[in-house]
Amino acid sequence: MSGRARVRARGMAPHHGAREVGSTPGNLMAMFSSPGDSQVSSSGASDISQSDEVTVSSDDSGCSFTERGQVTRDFVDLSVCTREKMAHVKDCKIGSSGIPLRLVTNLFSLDLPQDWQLYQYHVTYSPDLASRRLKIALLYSHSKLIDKTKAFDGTSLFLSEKLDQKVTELTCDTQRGETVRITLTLTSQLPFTSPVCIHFFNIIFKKLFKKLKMYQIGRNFYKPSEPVEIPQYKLSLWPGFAFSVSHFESRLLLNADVSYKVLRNETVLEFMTDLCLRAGTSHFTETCQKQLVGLIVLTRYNNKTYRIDDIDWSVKPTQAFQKRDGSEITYMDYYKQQYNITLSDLNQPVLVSLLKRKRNDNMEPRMVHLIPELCFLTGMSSQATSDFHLMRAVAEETRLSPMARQQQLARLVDDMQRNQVVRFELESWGLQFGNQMSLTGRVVPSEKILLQDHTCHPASAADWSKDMRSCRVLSSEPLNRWLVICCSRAENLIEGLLSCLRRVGGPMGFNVSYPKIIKVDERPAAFLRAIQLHVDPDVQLVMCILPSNQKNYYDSIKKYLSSDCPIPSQCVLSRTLTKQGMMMSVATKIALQMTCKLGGELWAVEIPLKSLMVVGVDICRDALNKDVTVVGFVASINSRLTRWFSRCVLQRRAADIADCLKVCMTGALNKWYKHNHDLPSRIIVYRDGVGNGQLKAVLEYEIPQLLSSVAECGSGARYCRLSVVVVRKRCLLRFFSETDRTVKNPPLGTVVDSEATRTEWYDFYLVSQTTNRGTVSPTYYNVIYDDNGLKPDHMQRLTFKLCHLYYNWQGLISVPAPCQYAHKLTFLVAQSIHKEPSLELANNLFYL
Amino acid sequence: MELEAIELCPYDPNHRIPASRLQYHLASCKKKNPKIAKKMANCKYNACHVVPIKRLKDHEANCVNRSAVDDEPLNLPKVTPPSFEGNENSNAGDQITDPDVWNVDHMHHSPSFVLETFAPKKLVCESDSRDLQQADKYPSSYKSWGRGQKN
Repeated sequence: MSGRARVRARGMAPHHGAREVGSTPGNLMAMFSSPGDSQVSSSGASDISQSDEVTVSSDDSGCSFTERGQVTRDFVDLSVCTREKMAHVKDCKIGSSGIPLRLVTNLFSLDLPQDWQLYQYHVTYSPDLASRRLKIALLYSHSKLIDKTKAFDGTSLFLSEKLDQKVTELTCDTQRGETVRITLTLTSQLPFTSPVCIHFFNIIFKKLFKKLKMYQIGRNFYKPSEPVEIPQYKLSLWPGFAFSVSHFESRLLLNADVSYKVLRNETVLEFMTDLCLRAGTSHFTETCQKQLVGLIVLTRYNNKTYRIDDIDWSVKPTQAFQKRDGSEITYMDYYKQQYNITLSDLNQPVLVSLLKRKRNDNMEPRMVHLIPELCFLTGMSSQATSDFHLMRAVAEETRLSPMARQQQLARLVDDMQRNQVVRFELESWGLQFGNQMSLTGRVVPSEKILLQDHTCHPASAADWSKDMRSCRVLSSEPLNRWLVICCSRAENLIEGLLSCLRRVGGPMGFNVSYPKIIKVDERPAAFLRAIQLHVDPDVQLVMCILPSNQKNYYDSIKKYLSSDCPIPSQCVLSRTLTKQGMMMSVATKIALQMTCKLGGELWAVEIPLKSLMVVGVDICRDALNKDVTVVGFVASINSRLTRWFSRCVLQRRAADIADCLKVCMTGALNKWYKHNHDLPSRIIVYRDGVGNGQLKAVLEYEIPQLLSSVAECGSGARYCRLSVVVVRKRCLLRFFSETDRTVKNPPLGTVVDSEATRTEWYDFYLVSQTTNRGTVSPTYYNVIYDDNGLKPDHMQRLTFKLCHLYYNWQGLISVPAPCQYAHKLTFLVAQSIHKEPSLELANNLFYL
Repeated sequence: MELEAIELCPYDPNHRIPASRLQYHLASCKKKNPKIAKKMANCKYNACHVVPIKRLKDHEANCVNRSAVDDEPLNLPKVTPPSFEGNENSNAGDQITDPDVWNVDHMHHSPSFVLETFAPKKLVCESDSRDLQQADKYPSSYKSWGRGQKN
């Protein structure tokens, strides 16, 4: 059966307007021959079969152009042009300091002839046809277009060569003898830099990946034919690629990176059986429902993924459903016939999945019935992610070293170049593909770490804990009055911890006195009660030794001590304190955290800018209530950038754009003024958590809020000058440094600000993390608003300096410290506290 | 399928937008309706609250998102003394003894520069080209926020 019929046979409700795959002329007659195929209001297959069409409509991968060829949300960012408004970087945005370094990237050239253009035509049919499949078939079969390279989704036609006239009329006959007139009107001629073209190239490449026998899951493509098995954990990893075609500084490039899909070798049926055995048959249906609804499953007979939306307990595989042509067949017979699969359990229910509607039709979403025995679970359960050995086994396979990554990418390019069909498609569009791009980056100078009476020159900026070992931190408050709350079982661990704290605290300059120790039962409520009873205004800190890492202990304690009774708190698992060999390092970490929570400062780097305030903003969704968004705003208060003011606001809106920045910024400026008796002359905001398609909203909605606050506070002779930088931790781009015949990770402090960046933006990449295993991911910075006019060099170096200032890690982190602080704050609130923390704690890093 | 709350656009009540898209819509609708936008101001507690300037004070006094914390009067001087000039070009004699002070104050900013940078002259996507002419006629609309705030 053809793919279409198969889907129909599954008993879905008929509908029209299906996404369809165009076919080669040879198949046309076959498609129209069976009587069941109505020409007009037919319900075609929605799932795209992996057959070998040569010319495929651009809709193949599920992305279609809208009526007017507008770009999808992901590519809205491409239309934002911020650099041309910034006079100081209009000509050059390259920095200068540092040692040049030759780097290899995971970018591959896509060369086009100089005068290449994409011609977009709007296509209308008279009489109008409802079936997209028919529209495509008629157009493709027309003699005029038969040998032209084209892509068509039913409304917009793209050609690589122009037709003779602007308006072309074609006539053809349908099978039934009707004459249809097709009108093609040239609407635009697009150069390869336009966003529509970029979107178009991405669609072409999606097609090409499919031709290489890869299947799309989510946004990436995977090869089920070469799985990596981890049998001891019943996991299968499918290797694949994530990719994106984009226009970089001067060229069109394909950015491809290796990706792995984790699949469990466990079917839903096995999962249900296991659940039944463990939990018993009472409440079985509810537990199943709770655990399974929302998960994504994969059916291996067609390598498609579905989301489980419901479980229908009343339908069994022995029951029959109606196929499109009206005949009935039972589920078990169907699978036997179709895929030669025999179902073993005839009592299992069916899973219901609602297929997403791609177009805005006001139709009922289509429903699919799936058999649990044939559905495999994907992703990893929370049980799996907390299993250290399992995660390590997965990491062994997925964390590729630079050399291994490079090899995989080389293989991909090789496969593409050898595949006849792929080559033909690329050539017919005029694309020349394949060269891996190298560029020159720079390694900026390393930073000195300033402590109270010592300056460190760490051997490796990745970790200076050893260099800092017996040095005094910049400033600290003595800890005189504090509480320790623990269960009776952990009592013996406390003395050990306290003596270690004194031993590490002394050289650090952190004086710890003996606390008041309170013993409680092993219940979260007991902890809270103890806190309530024993806390008084003099208590500086509350330490809780938690008996287990059950969330409710941590959550309830943090919630109480962050909002109702604002006191810095330190939670330690009793399990951590039992590791004898690690006591000193554990105690060091705890002592550093406690110093920060009491308002101390640990270390600094040289900041050669006076009167600078740095702000980090991050956003995430609340874990309990999906309609609530948590916005974290952390601003420096002193010019050394060692003291931070934090503000967290909950928004009742399920969107990742902040509404409250004006009050946050005003509060921060107020704080700065109180501390420095002046306003900062420069403000640089690092905005993290910006997803695809949100750049414009940040620019046009969030920045005005910040500017409004700055304008209001600084009225008079001089405004504070604002700059806003968007930070992206996860980008597809990778850099490798080449040595001899291998490739390695680039060194810390590598900056790339040319060739892999975008002409329309003032942007750069910075590598500020290392890894023992695997490839580092550079962080991407896009300066979208800049009144400060700092030289790009200074902007890059300042950003690098800021990556040294996160007090929870004695080393470099991948993003600037204020972003990481904001992230930690929002994480705490979104996971545990679920309300705005008290502002009495705002001056300390209570969220570490 | 859960339905999302629909909100009305303050610039044009004919626009009905799902709550999660409102912010994006406000940004683009404001550019498309500069005349109306000029008369409106954004609430300082929640930028989604767009009200006529005349009613801003009332709105902010009763705003849903208002918090006592932000009501604190800003004890910032209205006219900043020109000590900024001194700071930039002064020596690095402060606590940071790094000779590598980044002397970067080449640009002479006048307040209007700040506004001009933000004027949406080229800050639009290709499809908004016809709005460019309109944007040129009206100065950047964020100014109305500032004006609205001063009591």
